[in-house]
Parts: sequence; C-alpha cells; structure tokens
Amino acid sequence: MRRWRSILISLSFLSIILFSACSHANDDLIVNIDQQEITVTRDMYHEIEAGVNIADEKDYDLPLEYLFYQNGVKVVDSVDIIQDEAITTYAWKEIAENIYWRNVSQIEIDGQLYTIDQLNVHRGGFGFAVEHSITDVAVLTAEALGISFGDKNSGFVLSSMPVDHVVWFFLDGFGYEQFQYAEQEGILPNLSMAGDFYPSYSIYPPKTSTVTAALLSGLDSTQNGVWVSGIRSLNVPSIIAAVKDSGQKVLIIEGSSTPFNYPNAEIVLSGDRDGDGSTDDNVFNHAQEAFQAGIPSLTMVHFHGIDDVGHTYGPYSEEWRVKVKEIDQMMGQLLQELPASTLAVIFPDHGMHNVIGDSELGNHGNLILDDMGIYIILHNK
Amino acid sequence: MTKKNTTLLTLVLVMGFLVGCGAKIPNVDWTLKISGEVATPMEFSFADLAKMDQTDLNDIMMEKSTGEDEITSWSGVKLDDILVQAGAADDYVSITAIASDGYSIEIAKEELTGAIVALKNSEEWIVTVTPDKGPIRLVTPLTPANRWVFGIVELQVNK
Repeated sequence: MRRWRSILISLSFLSIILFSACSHANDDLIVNIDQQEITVTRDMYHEIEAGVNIADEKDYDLPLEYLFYQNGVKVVDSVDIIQDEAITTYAWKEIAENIYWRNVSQIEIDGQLYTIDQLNVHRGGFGFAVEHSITDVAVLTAEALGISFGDKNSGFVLSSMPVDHVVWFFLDGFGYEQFQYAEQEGILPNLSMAGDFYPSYSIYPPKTSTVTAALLSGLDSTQNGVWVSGIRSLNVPSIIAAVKDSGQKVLIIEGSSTPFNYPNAEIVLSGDRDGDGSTDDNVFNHAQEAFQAGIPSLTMVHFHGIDDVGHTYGPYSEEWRVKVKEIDQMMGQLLQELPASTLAVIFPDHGMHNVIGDSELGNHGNLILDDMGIYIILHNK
Repeated sequence: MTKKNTTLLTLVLVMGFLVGCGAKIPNVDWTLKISGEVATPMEFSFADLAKMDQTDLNDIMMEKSTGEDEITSWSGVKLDDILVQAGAADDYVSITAIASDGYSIEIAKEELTGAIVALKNSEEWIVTVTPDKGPIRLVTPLTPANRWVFGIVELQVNK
C-alpha cells in the first residue's frame, strides 16, 4: 500500500512537470525563416523587449522586425501568418508600419490582435549579392588614412592609399531605391557619375541616430548597443576616437543639430539662420569654407534636406525632386573643390517609403528595401 | 519656561526647519557658460541661477520624438533675463545649446519665445528627479522636446 502511494505521488509530480512544460511550449512561437525553424520562447521575447523598450513604457509598441533582424533578416518580402492551420500571406511593405509584437505568440496588425501558431518569413532584398553595409565605412576610413581600427577588413579595394583626407558626404534619407529613381529620371547628373557605386545595406532600425552609431562604430546595431532611437552616445570605440588617437583631427559639419554625439570632433552647426526653410545651403557654405581653409584627416558633411522634404511631401514628389536636384548640384561643386589626396565617401543612412498620413507623406524605419537599401560611392581625388 | 511655551517654541523650530529644508538649494557643481555674440561672456553657477527670479511653466506639452507626449511643469530662469545680463546682441538670430554629453542644437530666436533654463520639474529639483541628466534643462515651450536640451553647459548666441 505504501509502495503504491509512493508511485502515485511520483506520477502526480511527473504529470505536473510534463503539464507545465507542455503549457510553456504552447506559448512559444515557431518562426520559419527561409525554411530554417526558430522557436521563440517567452524568455527570448522578454530579452528583445527589454533591449528595445529602454524607457520601460507600458503597452510599448514592439516592432516584430527586431526578431527578424536579430535572426539575420535585412529585408522582408512577405510573411505567412499561420493560425489554426489557416495561412494568410501579407506583403511586408503593406503591413510593416502597423504590425507590433504584443506577446510571444500574439501580434497586432492594424489594431487587430491575433494569436498565431507559426510565422513564415520570406526574405527580400536587392535580388543580387550585396556584400557591403554602412558598418564598412569606418573600417574603410581607417584603411584609407592608414590607422588602426577594429579587426575587420572593409572589403573595398582602393586605388590610392593612404590618403591625406577622407570626406564623408552623408545624404540623409536618399537611399538606393531613391537614387535609382533619380538617376533614371535624369536628375542626378553629378552623383550618378561621382565614382564607384556599391549597393549596400543599412542597419535596423534604419533611422538616423541608430545608423550613425553603426557608421561611427563600424558595428551593427545588434553589437554596438544602439538598438533604438533615443540613445545618443556610444559605449564602444568609434572611428572619431581612433582618428584622434592617431594624432589627427575630425570635423563634423551638421545641420541644425547633432543627431548623435560626436565626442573628440570639432562640430560646426549650420542652422537655418537665413530663414529660407533649409539648412542645406548653410551646410554647403560651411563645407566650402572648410575646404578652402584646409580640412583635417576626417570630415563629415551631413545634408538633411532630402530626408526633411521626403518626410513632408513624400519621396518622389515634385518638392523632393527639386531638393534632389539641388543637392546633386551642391555635391558636383563640392567634389570639384576637394583638396588633392582625398577619398570622398558618399552614402545615405537609410532610404524612405511613401506613407498616407496627415502629418507626413514619407517615413523610414522598416525592414523593406526602400528603407534598408543604401549605397556607398567612392570618389578618389 | 512653561510647558505651553516649550511646546510653542518646539513647533516654531520644527516649522522653521521644514521651511528651511524646502527652500534649500542643492549643492550642485555646474556651470552654464554664455558665449558668442554677447557684450560680456558670462558663467552662471547652479547657485547663481537658483537665486535669480524664477518663472513657472505649468502644464505644457512635451512633444517627444519617441514615446508618448507628456504634459509637464517646469520652473527656472527666463532665458531672456540671462541674455540681458550677458548683453546679447539685439539682432541675434539663433542660439546654439550645447549639452554636457556633446549634443548640440541651433535654435532660432522665434522658437525661444517663453524659454527658460529650468531647475525644477514638477516642483522638484531636476537634479534629484533625474540626476543622470544634469541639473538644468533648456525648456522651449513652443517647440518639440528635441530642443529641450538637458544638461546644458553652454549657450552660444549667434548672429
């Protein structure tokens, strides 16, 4: 009798353990990325949420894209949402702005909450192999200046190295898709002929502060700690510090504010003091003045206008086209005025897509080619 | 001394202590530099700012670039008072606010209407509420919060 009692107690105990394990497994989400299956657990969900929701807000809108990007997806083409064996396929571009991860297996699409069993993710992208990323720019700069930075190789082959100066032309919001469009429309006579053109990827989230962190650190957002907008400082080494440590200087010519902190650099702000509604003419003037006065080893010239106009009027709008032509003209002039022994590196931080809204007609921040597709142009003088 | 007098004296002392504590300026090592197009470049310590006339901005919208907007209340020194003391040029067009962490932003004169250098947030010293963000903050009530620079160390006046 006593033996049977012991067996019964043991069996009950085992049942409880098994039941707990099963119920936990039911909470998990199966994500299938190009035939590779990942089981997303509650712990994984909380880890991502804690890393992104840095202000610890209640009911935080956690984009599902963090999960995809952390698993190596740079662009999403479409997803299949499987619920009670029913499959619904969505083009990612159509829902990316309005899909949030509410809990491990719960997602919200356009305000509607779904508990799902499985998610199939189909990658998108350029449609051809792309080897470069915005993180290569810092490494390339170190290679061009002949200084040490990190242990990676940029993968670029430069015709003349080292050079005396590297100048970064940072074309905010003017991504690969927008460049291609403008080139086809014939409104990029200077930039389309500026140098060797390398299609590249941005990092997620494709926003100016997070991409700037990747640009300066040479590390992806999953590695450099700047995983969300709102963080302004790096806790990992930056190319600016590396240039300074080598006894050289860095000049940053910005618009009206610094989207990210640039310790160890000389900063020139170019607010709209003439009140014409744009900072680009002031950035342009400051760049010209710097080229004439003599630039240090590394200079960054950040044009914000295409992004600003794209947000307000939408990319590809008439206002946007006018702005693109203006920046192209400025770039043509600045490239001519560069001092000898300079490597100019031209790149955007991200692209942009059209949105329908009251406050703006363009936006960025999603895992779609419009936002994530960028390029790096190398121009040697 | 009677028991009644002793009680009264104790009450007065306790009240005096409480009032004194409430008004006490925190001992903060911080300097705000005013530079650029001014007659006299100046430096204001935290104590200097705390002793100047204070202005309240109650229930103003803090329009954030990330997260939910908030209704907030601040008090501090009018920016205009600081600029007058430094002799800022009448025709200045903007101010560059520089934070201790390196963030800087150029703000047009029109956007600075009603601005204060805040020392308190919801009647509490900023240094005690958010000690990691510095003890003073520029609050420009007519603009989004990306111009409300916290931890400001310098205001450059531009023409």
